[in-house]
Amino acid sequence: MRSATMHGAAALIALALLGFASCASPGRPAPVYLGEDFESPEEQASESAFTQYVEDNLPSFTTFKLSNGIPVIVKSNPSSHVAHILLVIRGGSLVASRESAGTESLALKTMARGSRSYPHRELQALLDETSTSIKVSTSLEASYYSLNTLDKYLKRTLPAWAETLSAPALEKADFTQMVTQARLGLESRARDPWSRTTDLANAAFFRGHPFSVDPEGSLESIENVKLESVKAWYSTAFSANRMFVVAVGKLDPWKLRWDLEWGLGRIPDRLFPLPAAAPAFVPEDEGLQTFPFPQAKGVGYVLGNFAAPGPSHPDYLPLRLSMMMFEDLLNAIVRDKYGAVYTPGAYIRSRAANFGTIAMFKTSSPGKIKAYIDEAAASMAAGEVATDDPEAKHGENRRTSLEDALPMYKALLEGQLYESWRSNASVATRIAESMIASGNSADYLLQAESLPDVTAAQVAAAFRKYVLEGRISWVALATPALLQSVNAGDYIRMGKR
Amino acid sequence: MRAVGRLGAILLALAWLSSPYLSSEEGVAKGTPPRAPGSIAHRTLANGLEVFVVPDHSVPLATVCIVFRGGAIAQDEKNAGLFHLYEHMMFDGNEKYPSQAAFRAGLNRLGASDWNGATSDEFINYFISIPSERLGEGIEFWSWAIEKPVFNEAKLEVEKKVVLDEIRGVHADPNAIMENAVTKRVFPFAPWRKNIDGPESNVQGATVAQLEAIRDSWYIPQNAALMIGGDVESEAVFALAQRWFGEWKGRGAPTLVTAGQEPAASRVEIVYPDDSFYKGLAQVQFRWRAPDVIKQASDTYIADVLFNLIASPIGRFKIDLMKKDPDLLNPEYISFHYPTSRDGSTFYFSAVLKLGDPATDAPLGERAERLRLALDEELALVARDPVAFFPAGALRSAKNKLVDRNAIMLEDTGRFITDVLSFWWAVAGTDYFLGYESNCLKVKEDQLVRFLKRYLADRPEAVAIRVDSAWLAANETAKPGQGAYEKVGADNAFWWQK
Repeated sequence: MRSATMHGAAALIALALLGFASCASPGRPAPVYLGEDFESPEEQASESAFTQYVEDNLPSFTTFKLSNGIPVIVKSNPSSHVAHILLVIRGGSLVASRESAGTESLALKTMARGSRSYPHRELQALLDETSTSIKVSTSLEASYYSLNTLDKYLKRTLPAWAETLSAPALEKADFTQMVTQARLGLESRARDPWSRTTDLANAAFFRGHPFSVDPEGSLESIENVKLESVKAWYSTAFSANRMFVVAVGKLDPWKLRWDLEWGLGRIPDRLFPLPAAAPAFVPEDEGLQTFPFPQAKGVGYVLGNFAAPGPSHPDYLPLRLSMMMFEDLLNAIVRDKYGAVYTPGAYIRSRAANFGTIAMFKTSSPGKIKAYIDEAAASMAAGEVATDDPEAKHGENRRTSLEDALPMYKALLEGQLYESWRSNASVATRIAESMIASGNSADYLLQAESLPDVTAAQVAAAFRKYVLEGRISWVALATPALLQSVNAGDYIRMGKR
Repeated sequence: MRAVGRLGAILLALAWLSSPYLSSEEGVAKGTPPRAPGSIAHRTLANGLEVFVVPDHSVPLATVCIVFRGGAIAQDEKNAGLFHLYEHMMFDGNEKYPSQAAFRAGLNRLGASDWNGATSDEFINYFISIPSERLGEGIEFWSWAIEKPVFNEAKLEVEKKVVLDEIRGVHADPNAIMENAVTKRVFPFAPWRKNIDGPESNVQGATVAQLEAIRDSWYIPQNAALMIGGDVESEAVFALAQRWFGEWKGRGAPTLVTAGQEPAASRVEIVYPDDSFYKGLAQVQFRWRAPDVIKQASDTYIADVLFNLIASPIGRFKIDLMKKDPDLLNPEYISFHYPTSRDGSTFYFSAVLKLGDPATDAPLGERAERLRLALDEELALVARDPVAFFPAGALRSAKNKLVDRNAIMLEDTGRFITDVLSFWWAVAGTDYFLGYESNCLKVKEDQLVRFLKRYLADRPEAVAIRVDSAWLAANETAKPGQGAYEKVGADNAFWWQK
């Protein structure tokens, strides 16, 4: 019954996709409302609360296209006074070159400084007066350009935001300012031991993959970016065929379509060649790379990346659940039993070309910590996870079977999903990620579609395949003295006791 | 305690939080839409525990947060760092969940999708996010942790290692070194009340008896607030709070400080040669003693309005400053703000100077003084006639912004109670919090003038410079005699380093 219900929900999403194709006519917009419920009342009554939440939210989507083909996804949330409008520009690392990486980021940041009708001072005055923010960020697969504003100001702030996109000023002073900020940001990342660890780990893991080009650029590449190249990017790569818009809030889709058409509908489709989807990871290196970092002063950082299945892969949910269990084991063993780390972490992301991470944030025992990680991994391999016994006494290392613990972890995963939907900005991001990963705007709601069907055997198998038998690219960063205690041989395999 | 950078994140949050959420009416505002002004409900139980409810029905989650006044502000020299250690130990077990494993298992069984604890200068809080249908169990869960914690030496020894890893990272952080170097010297009589991590030796030597003393004095209902945000109904929350916390006993509210922080008798001038600092730039900080909630609450409203007026990077204040000191990098790297504190507040001015050739550049101390004079001139202009200085309508706009920012922060009620409401309740109190909007809206131009003359007319208590060590060395070599600034670093920044 639950499965049938979710299929009903999936059918609604298919309609949402059809909406993109069928609603592109110019003139007065005709938003397509979605969300008829195909389930009988009896079927609905048997649904879980989570399923019900998904069902209740699906009708709150409206989709349409602007006259230049830009798809718009509107998610209504009448309980919030904050409106979040997000322009997503596909590409990210996939369209960046190592020599000029950072161009798109710098271009968008310069655009956000002002436009023809809203020069920098006027725009900043408006944003300041209305406590509104325009933010730019880049990721491995897209760039994001957002407006976050109170709905009472939307009629003033939306046109200003839109004009920075359709008619940006691209002033020299603003560009220079953004280059300075970018340089300082990169220098700051290089100084911070944890940021440095993640950057070095990504560099090692992404080698040979399109993600190896950081879309924010490097200190070297941003030196190659000039205002002329930013303007050239705008006139060639700022193309409607790369874009979609996500809007979340107490919004009138009719009115929004009109406003967006006036603003973003003027962005030309330059037929920018979109890259193929990023290929899955096939890491070439495994084992450990060490990096001395004298400023770390007595504390080390250890991080391992590994290939993981994307959200549409049948192994995705089992592996995600296994990583939640593994993280609890890392807490129980590495942190609580040995006191060897401040914060351990284990997780996978939600990209089509996906990867996972095992992280040890602040440890004074980098030489011993892999053995503790292995102890946790061995427990997982044996089908045992951290105890769920509320009476467990101190010092007891009781374990419970993965099978018995699985329903609890499924409930925890539901809670984590809810947690990521608490603000309109985070909902917009989830929708954007869903679009990029699968083309389905509501995948973030439907991620758990098959969650009830996941078995303990699938969870154990996923952990074995991707973690125990997977190739993990490790990085350790610490003072030279601490690194002397680290044995690279410990990092060849996972799970040895 | 749990999440990466949580401790630091709280400290950073406090730096930009300038105002609490504004509720014009006390108590439950029935019938108001979710997360609209006035929707915060408040009640005090007979034992003194305050209960706040912030309904938000957007997702079926409830965040249960309990807050205590304390942290650095409650420390003495010998127990500095132990409020933070205690926060960690809270997750290590109690009479119902006797071990860390049992505690964590209990959280998992509750479906806790997020949980954490944090210690800051003036409060400690703990929270969990759970399915709203399990609200009663969540409140019960914290009642065991708060009322019946069990400490023992074995658990303590393990947790000490974790805390030491955490604070060693903090003590190596250049930002922490700079901040501690300043506060240690500006507040020399009780610097341990401005630093939550404490010396490693305090943590290493901590005893169960010390933790129990903190529990008995500080972890009591008269010093606590229970805050619930999310998919809940106020009356149901109050009933559950009464059920699980109504019998909790305490011995009377503790005294947070016996006397307010007094600044150093002489002015502080320090320079931090930092190998890792940006090449070609120097950061200059000025600090003045600012109003404290415990002594000058009414001035804190004026401070928030004033600093909102001058915060804009395109406003006259910063633009004028740029003209007066062409060495400033740009107005977006000028920060001038007032983080509200119960005690030991400072105004914080920071700007970034461009550096040239160290051999030909003026000594850094001279350049800092030039910037100070420019700032002094600008503040004098504001004080002379704020109506003429700021554009028409600016004062009203500044006050409206305080309200709007709170509306934005209220969007995520979980974060709102853990980061915003926790702070304002602990630092300023319920009456302050609930009356904040109306008090800010009452601020007039003449109050700004008096305020500026009272707090910002004199030289700052501290001038601090952070700069690349190689550049400083070359500058010093070329300009002998500029040794007035005390050099600070990781070996003398913290209060326990004599």
